[in-house]
Amino acid sequence: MPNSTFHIENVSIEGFKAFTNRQTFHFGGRHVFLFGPNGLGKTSIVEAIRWCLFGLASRPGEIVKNQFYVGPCAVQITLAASDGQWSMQRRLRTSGGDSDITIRDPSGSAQNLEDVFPQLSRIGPREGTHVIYAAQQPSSRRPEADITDFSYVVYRYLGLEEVPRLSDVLLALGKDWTHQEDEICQEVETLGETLSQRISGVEEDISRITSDPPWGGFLTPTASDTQEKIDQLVREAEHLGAQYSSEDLESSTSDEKLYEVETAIHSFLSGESAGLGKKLTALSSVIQNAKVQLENGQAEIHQIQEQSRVLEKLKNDLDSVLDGSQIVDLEEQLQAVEVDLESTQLKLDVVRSSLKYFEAIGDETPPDLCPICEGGILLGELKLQLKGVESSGDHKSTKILEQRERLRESIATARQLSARIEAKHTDIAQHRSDLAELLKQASQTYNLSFPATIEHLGNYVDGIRKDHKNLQNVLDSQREALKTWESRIEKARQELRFHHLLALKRRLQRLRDVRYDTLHSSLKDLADLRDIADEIRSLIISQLQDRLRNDLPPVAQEMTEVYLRLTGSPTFDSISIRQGENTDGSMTLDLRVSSSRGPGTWGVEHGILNGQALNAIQLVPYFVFSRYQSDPLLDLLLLDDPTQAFDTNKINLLLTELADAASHATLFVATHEEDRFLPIVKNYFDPGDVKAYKAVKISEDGPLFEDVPISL
Amino acid sequence: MSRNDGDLNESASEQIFAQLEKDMEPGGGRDLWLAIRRELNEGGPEGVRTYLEAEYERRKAIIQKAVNELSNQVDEIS
Repeated sequence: MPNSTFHIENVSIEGFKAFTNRQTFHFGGRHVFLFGPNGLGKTSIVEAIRWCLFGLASRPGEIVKNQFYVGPCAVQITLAASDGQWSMQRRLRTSGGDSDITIRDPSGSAQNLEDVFPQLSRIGPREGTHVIYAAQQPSSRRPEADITDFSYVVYRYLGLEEVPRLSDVLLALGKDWTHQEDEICQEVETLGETLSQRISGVEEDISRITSDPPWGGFLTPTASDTQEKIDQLVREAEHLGAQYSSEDLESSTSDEKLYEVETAIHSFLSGESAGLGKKLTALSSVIQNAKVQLENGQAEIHQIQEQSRVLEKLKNDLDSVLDGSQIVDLEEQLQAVEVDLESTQLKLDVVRSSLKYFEAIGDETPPDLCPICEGGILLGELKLQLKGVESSGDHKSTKILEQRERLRESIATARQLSARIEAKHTDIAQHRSDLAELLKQASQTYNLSFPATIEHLGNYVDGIRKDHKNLQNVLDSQREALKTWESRIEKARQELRFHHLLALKRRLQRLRDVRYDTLHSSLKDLADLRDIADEIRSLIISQLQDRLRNDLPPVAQEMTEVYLRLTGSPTFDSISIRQGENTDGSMTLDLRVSSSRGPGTWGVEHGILNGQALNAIQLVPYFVFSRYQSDPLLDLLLLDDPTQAFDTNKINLLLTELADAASHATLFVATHEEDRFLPIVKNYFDPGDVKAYKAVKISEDGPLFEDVPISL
Repeated sequence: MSRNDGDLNESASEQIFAQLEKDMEPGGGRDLWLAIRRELNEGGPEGVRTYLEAEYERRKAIIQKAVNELSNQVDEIS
């Protein structure tokens, strides 16, 4: 029996690969040989043990599940130990993907896998040959020697495993530190650049001030000089009327003093300016109103004068029309003319009627008698006389009509002129009244003497215009004074800024010369740590190489012996081990198979080896190193169809090594070469220590196995 | 070399480390190595990693603090 702490008592498999319903195999801690043709489930048992212990590293868990079985996918291994039976069960999650392992101690309490098998590890390909190896934890500080890593197996075997691990730790830290240092250096450099830029910026500011110095290009003032200038400003502003006491500002900073002076000056001068500004505005308004009133008054006067001139002309025209008379005289004359005209026309009518009558009677009436009164008047003479009267009457009538027309025109003109004269009088009176009212109001508004005249108003407007101008001059003067103060304050500020910039430059330079240089020293401390660690790593590697030069050849020799026993290879008869580096710089050991008759000292690539040699190389580290581990907790060697790689004529070589390994490991060997193995197994193993099965068929319950006796 | 004697195997690393200690000149490098050995004995290579990472972080923190302070001072006085 192997001398490990745990032995596999039995294995239960359900829904795993070829298995459907749960089947339990009772191994009783014995070595197991699984015979039978390929495809009947031998590999499923070997795989089930491996899966229960390790699960799948990277592939999805579903691939182990029997897709035709609706039940769970689970493998349970019962382990026999001195304190009773432990159970280890792995179950595929119903959601698929991952699987969970549960370990229970003999009391049924759940335990952590890492606590029970802190160094559970394996060697070999994913499928096929598996070596399960769970060494005792030799020391709490010891790193796990995972024999999947050949290098660490050898290092551990030589008691050197801490050296490459320490080297790798130092290497990884060095890389990480280099990266971090780059970042920190970048940050420090950026800070240095910022500092230099700030100093340059301050120097530029200083240069701008000194190119047009506020102190006027004389001797550069000291800070005390500038302070004295500011104190002088404080005193002058107080003298001017600033609402503060210079004593109150004694403890103030120069900036504060300037602020106070500026505030006071602005308050004072701006207050006065504002008052003057208001007065100016009011005066402008008065000027505007008075000016309007003056212009209105002047317009009224102009109207009065203009209307008076027109009135005078109208009067002259009327006098000319009346010619010393009155309209009523003309009307009387017209009336007399009308009467005279009527009388004249009546007389003419009689004469014309008489003449018409005489014309009508013609020669009937004797020319020596009056036809009317038959008096003694001559008709012819009468006619002559009547015609003479008619002629003179016509002339007179014409004259009278002309006279009447003239009289009528004169009367109409005179009436019209009289009406216009009357209207002009009214207009002029209205203008006079308006002017009087305007002057009365102006008198009251502007407090002029009463009765005020337009001249008074004009004088008043001229006067307030002068006042306005004088006020404007005062205001301009105050504004100029304010500008002067502002300029003096600004110059003082510039001087203060100049001294501030000088101080700032000194402080920045001090930061650069002292703090920044100190920072560089700290950076050196950081780099020193990396350099020292790197130096230590170099020394470690050097020491290790010296050591390996002596220690590796015996190991290689021992591996060669096992390799040759497994393969009997006449061609490649030597195993070499060489120290090398992985691509990340970490340390490693390479194993090669070589020929003692070949020209090279270093071995061949594994790719050119045959299957047996490859399989042997995979098993050699196990056979060489695992047997020397004291008291492993669990030591299993799983071989799936080893004759695929091994020459079937050399099965005895393999069985020799397996028998040797069986002293410490439990074997699980699956092979279809029943006829070659079975007859000779008894030559290498005690039949009582071996359990053999034969796969006979795949039933609805999964693979069906029969016990096979190992006969002596 | 005895393959069955874990203590002797263990001493192979110790021998290398002891030799390293003898070879190193007194000073910063030797002091660091002594500290590494102390951590190696107490916590193995991972203990060394933890110690060195902490030491590096300590030194880095000093720099980072100095950088921050200097940066703040530059900002403040500008």
